[in-house]
Amino acid sequence: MINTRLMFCFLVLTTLVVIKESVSIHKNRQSFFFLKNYNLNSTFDTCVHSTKRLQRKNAKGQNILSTDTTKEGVKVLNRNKNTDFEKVIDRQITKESNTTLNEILKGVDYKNILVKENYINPRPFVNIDKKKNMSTDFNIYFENNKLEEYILDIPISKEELCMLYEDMFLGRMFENLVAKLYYVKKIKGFVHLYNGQEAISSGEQIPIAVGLGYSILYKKEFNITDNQAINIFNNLTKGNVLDTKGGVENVNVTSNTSGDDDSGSNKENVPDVDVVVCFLGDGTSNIGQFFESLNLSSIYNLPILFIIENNNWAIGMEGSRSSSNDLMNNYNKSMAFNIDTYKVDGNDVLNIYKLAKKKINEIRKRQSGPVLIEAITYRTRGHSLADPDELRISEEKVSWKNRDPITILSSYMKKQNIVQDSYFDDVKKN
Amino acid sequence: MAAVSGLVRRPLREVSGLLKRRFHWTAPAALQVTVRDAINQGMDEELERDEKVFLLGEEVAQYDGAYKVSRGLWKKYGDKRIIDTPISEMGFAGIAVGAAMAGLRPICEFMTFNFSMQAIDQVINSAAKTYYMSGGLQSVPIVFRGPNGASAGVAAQHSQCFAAWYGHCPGLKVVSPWNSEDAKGLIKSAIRDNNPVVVLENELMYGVPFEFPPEAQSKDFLIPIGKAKIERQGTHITVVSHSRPVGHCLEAAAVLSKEGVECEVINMRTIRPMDMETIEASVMKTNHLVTVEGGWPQFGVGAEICARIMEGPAFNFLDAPAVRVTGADVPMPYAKILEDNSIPQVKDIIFAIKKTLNI
Repeated sequence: MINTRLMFCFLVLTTLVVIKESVSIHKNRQSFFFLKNYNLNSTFDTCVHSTKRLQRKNAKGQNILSTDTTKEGVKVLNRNKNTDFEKVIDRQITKESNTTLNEILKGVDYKNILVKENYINPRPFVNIDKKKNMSTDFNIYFENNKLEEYILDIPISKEELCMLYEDMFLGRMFENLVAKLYYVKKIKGFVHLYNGQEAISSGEQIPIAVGLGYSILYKKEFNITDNQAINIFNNLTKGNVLDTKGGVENVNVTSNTSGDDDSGSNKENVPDVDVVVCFLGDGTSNIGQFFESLNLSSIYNLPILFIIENNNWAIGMEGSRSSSNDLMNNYNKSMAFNIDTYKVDGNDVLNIYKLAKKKINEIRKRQSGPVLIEAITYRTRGHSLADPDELRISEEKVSWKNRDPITILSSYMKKQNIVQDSYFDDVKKN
Repeated sequence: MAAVSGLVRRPLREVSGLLKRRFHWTAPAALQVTVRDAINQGMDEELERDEKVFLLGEEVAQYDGAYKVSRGLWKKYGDKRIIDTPISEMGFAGIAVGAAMAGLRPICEFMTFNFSMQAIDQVINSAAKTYYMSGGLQSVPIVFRGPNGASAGVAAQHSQCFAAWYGHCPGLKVVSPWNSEDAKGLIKSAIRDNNPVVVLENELMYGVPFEFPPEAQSKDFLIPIGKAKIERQGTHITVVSHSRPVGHCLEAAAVLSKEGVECEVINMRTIRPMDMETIEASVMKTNHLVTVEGGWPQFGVGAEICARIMEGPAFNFLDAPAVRVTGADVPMPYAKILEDNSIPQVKDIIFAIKKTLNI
């Protein structure tokens, strides 16, 4: 009987202690664990609470926490101190506390700091409405409005335009064929297609191909000639194990599925290789390897060009849920390592082509160090053909179809009257 | 008088020796070289021989190596050949693999192989599998080296043996030297090999001097990867091991030879591709087998040897089941007594040998 009563009292006391501690934690720290219905106002309450405490005053009207190093205050600090260490620490504490308290007591309006117009909690525990993060209006993503002035001086000839168009078109046809074969079960494994993003790879490959270089890709690479395309088809469908045993993801060049791979070292010793181009997705721009390679490339001043193909979606993870940087601003990651960064519309081949040409030539002549380009695009299909792609809203997909890179380029060519209308039909046939 | 003449005679003798100028033929006396100096010599000779070879790792250049293995190399070859890297294993392993794909021949040093776990994706997915996945088009002539296994008092996270982990992967060659001759020969053949090679050294062996035979002092001394060596001939039992436990096995053999048991000690030298022919031949001669290693027992080197013996012709010659002597199946403790008992000691080896021989 006594034991049960004691146990009961003990349990009650422990629960009370737990509640009290939890309440105290809630007051002192901005912890969200005990807030089921999270509101922005609660953060203000805690901040206000903490600052008010600093301004608490005596009955006399004096601040309780005073910054004056009066005799009484100094006496409290100057206990019997034998060690220099403690003196040093105290000096630091008084210095720091003086500055922060003074700033606060001068009358910094804390309310204005906290009430931002677009204050977004980076760690929401409540489901954010999908509509708020819809990526329909792409114009808000391009901060670098001076891009066109920067690349104005680079000319493009008619042949280059035709080459770009044909390359993109070939890529699109190849991808569609591969999809058809996959549905007929002639290709097995994973098939990650590139529809909607052809501009980036063709825009980058051709300036590289003009000079020698290695490129390592994240998504499937299709910068191949017709003969090679036929060979690859044969290998994939008949299962010939001659050339490529790696499957779909490694058709042409060794590709690292998890991220990038620094191959830019010691270029002086290997004169054939001038530039290295490394493609990644926005999802892998969070991996530790990426930051390590940025650091190493800026230390050793490697001739490497990073390209982030930002389509805002890993398989089902949207960029705002997975990355802590602002939406579509993955280039900020490289600015921390003193690397030149640029942000580009990924569906406009001409921008990418001109920028890539300029940067690659600069890197070849060793006039610039590593460079990072973030290209904003969209993928019209799912991540792979096994992806049902239910998480993306149809309005989003429809709006991006208007920005198809092939149609943009063809309409540009038609407007400028560079090529006759029959050209496009010829390309389709061939 | 005699003392005075003695004082005069000795220096005269020495002077006359100099004046005579006969050829002073020293017998190739036992040149004692530590494992550390042997690795240093091996790398030095390969760096001199081929301009494409370079070394990168943490504290390799200006600090003369974390364990002073690369002492003097930075002063000799400079910043372009001996590269200090920041603490980013994945990053610099990736740099090394990329450089190997581009045609250079890097040596990537991990401070211990425990840190290679940070970069194991690069070692296995980028380096080991590339030759196969590209259909023979892209080779990766890279060497990963560093100390492996238990050291003195470094506890669990710095004492793991990676022989089994890397030996499991096709596409890699795994090599584990014991003495200075092994170290020099194996690192030279690893650097000259066009495949990714993992060289598992041992930190406690770095300072141990061994006799260096004259053929090992030449600049082209290579030990073929895939060949074991019989360190000691015997008739009663075969003892197979790699790296540091080889020394313990030899000590155990010396103790047991006084009791009349002659052990045949085999130094494996390479773990992948394993040299089963010498082991099988030896087992067919002696009819008993004990394997010794420093790693954990489950899925280890000893397990693989026993399985292959069972699958091969040597099984019919076994008179007793093969026994494995391994490290304890526990993360390495820090306390000295526990640590000493977590690694195979000489008494454990003797006990196992006596158990198989039923003595």
